[in-house]
Amino acid sequence: MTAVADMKRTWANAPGLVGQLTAVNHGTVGLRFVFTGLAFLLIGGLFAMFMRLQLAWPGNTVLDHDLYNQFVTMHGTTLMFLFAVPVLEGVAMYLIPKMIGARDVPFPRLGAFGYWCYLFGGVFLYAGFLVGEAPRGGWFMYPPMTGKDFTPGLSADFWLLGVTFAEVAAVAAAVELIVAILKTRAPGMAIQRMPLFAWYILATAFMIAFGFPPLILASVLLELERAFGFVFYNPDLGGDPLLWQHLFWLFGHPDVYIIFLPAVGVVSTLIPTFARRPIVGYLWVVLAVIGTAFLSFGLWVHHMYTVGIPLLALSFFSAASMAVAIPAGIQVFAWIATLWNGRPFIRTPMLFILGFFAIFVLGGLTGVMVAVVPFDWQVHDTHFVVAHLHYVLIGGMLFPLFAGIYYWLPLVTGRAASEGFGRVTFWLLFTGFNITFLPMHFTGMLGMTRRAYTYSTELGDSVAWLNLLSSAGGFVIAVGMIAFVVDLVLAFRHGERTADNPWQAATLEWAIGAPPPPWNFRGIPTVTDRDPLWERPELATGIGSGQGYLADAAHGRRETLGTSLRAAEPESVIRLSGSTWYPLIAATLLTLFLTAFLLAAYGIAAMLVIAAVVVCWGWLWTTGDADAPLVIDAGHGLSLPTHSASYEAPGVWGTIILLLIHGSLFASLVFGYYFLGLGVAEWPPPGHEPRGLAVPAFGALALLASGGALDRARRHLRSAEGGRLRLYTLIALLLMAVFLAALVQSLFEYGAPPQSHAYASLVSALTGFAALHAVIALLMAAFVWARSRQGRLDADRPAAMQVVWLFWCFTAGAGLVASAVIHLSPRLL
Amino acid sequence: MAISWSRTLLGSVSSLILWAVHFVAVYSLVGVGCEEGWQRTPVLGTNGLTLLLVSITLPALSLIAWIGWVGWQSHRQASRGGGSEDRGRWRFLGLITLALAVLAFISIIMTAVPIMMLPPCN
Repeated sequence: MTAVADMKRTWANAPGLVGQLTAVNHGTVGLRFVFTGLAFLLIGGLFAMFMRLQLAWPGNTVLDHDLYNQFVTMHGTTLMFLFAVPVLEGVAMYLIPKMIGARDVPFPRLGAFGYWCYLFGGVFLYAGFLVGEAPRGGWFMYPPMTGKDFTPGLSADFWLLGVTFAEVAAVAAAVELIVAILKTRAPGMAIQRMPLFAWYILATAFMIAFGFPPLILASVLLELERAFGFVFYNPDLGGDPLLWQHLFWLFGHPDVYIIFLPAVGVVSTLIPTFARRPIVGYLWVVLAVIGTAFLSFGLWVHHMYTVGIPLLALSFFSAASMAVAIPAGIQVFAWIATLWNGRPFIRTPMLFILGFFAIFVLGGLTGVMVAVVPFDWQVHDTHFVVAHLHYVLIGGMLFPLFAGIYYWLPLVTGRAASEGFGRVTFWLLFTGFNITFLPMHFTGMLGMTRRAYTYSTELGDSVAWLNLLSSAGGFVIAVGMIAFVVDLVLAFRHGERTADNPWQAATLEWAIGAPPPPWNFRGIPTVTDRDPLWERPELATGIGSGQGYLADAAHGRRETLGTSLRAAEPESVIRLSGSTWYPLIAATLLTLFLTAFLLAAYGIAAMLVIAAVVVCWGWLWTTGDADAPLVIDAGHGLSLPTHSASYEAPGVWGTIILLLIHGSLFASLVFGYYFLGLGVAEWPPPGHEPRGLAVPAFGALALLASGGALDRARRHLRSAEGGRLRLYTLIALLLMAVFLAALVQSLFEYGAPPQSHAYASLVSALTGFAALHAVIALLMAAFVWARSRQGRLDADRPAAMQVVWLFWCFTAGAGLVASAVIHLSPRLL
Repeated sequence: MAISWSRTLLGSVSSLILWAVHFVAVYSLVGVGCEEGWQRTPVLGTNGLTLLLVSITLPALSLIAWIGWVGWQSHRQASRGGGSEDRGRWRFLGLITLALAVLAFISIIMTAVPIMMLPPCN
């Protein structure tokens, strides 16, 4: 067999429908995210068309208030959660491995699982329409309006469960992309040579890791309140609706940048190509990316200027809102300088970038306006804010995304879109956009409130005329969207065949042929420059003819190189999983679980959890290649250990990122405890005083001892004594079980039902968090025990033990902190 | 040691981590302090809460200035001598450390100005 035939056999998806359902390759999964996201864009846009019809003149009756509320909720929810975030994840998942010289993402199954969660979560959310229970509480879902009293029925539950389910995809993508960028770059692609797009995605993925957990927590708490009567947001029993607002915006504002950063990553990638020169100020752009990622976490309260927080505290957020303009400005200047010093040429993608410039700068400026506290007090909840946010999101995300789609279309299809058609699409969208949203600045300042299904004639004729203009503009956008879809379909079907690198771009994804093969690189190249294809145009031929590493796939296993964090020196050969049913089965079980939960069939839900545990076990048992040789010949005289033989396996890094996510969730929960405690006179309330310390102290000791035992087990990895390793693992497992029992016992001793007060609910939630982690730790210990029994865990293959050890440390840390918050802080504070 | 720390990824973003810690600290302290009435205690011509906020801002600023200086030293040290593979990376990470420290410094100053100008609770 030839080398290419080997590659094909190894990397191709299985044929037919089965192949589609079991595919895990990043190319397939990434494109699915993009196309599903675009479908949701059209659906979300359709809601907007109905809203614009309703608002075309005052007192219109296209939608009644209830339907309008559903449409405004689903418009925002769809476009934020089911379009903007997933579509960009898809772009990143498709492009990042190709740009950094990898064959696939490090956890292909996780990526496929994320996609199914996203799709099923979206369908779950829309299922509300079928039973007349579509969410209607706004995309921000503020309680108490979304609590059981004011929103009976299931509509809010559809939102909370569906959106949280879809968010699993975002979190999974974050883990996936961080590890991909840090650990699978081509040899020589040291940190200072990474493509700028990879910097943007790295920063975004870290932001998802810290930003999404607060919302996931907030949704879980609200669902507990709705389903079981827990108290978190009800002020009658010590809760506070502001807790939701804090958690929601702690997610919501970074989310704006989670959407914005990948999109401007596209801008920073395209501008050098169309200016025909390297980016000016690479380092400054990296600075801006990292700076934005951090500073955007200091803005969340600027959505809450009117809720009565002390003025000084508001001014902190005002200051950060202005500080974040510094990195944004740096990028704009870097782009201008690059164009200024280059020889720019204009094609459709560049046209969309210029459109982005115009719209986004306006949106950014109105952003600085609303960051000023007294100005915000005037325009809060008016159409001025609607105008601002659409200028930022459509300008800052949709235009760069479309630029990217037109730019990478020849890569995906090997065909070009029609230039003339593309330009018409651009002008329709650009003019339509401005006609729709520019007038909203004025209607907002004249007093037209947002999120209301109609407006008063007393606002004057000018407001009515401006609204009619906005609605007319909306139809121009719709025509533009139709043109875009037609253009895309035509390009896929009848587009002209293009060269492999039609734009003469510098980044590696253009060196692998268009459309690219599923393995991306026949041989993994060595990178020596920031703009590899400009410095060494011969790279493309080399890659195609199988020069480079790992060019031999006769063994039939999917492989990519693992390299070091900063210098990108080869460290290991990562053996990746191929097509499998596990992701689809796991996501289906989760869907069934959420459906059972929604219908309050808790018995069935519990059984589904057990089924999910079994499936997860099978997933882990079969992941990667457990029978890989310990040392693999990578070609060119380089022999590398297989990844499970290395102490820096992708799984170890993935676990670290996952624990950051859990840590962010836990920190949000502890924040909730103290936030609510500060708001009430007595915390704990009378009758809720903590009970004896003996049981929790005993539990804490057992927890520490279990850590010690697992550490001993870990040491026996090296001494190659499997029996000892299993013995200590078993002891660790038993001690963890003792801790779990102590948690349950002390909750039992405390005795107050969680429905009685917010304090009791938080004690239950903290205990639940620690207990859940203890249960997972128990399962992991059992897994390690079984692996060792099977002879697949020893000094040569330590990765599984490393993963369990990290999780164990986190469980111990979180368990101790949770116990201290519950039992010590009421005594000390 | 400080220089080699500044050449790690975590080290080069440590100034912004400090910014985040400072941000959370001053925001929480305003919440707690106003609840407890610390602003009503006059101290050294100002009030207890403002003084507390200033007294955590100054160390944060000094620490960030120091991080920036270490980054600069690391960059300069790597710039001397040949252009080896490692040195190129160190120059980059040193300069990034410095630039991020400048950004963090400016951002904390922007937070600190209202502390000096506004009464802490109203």
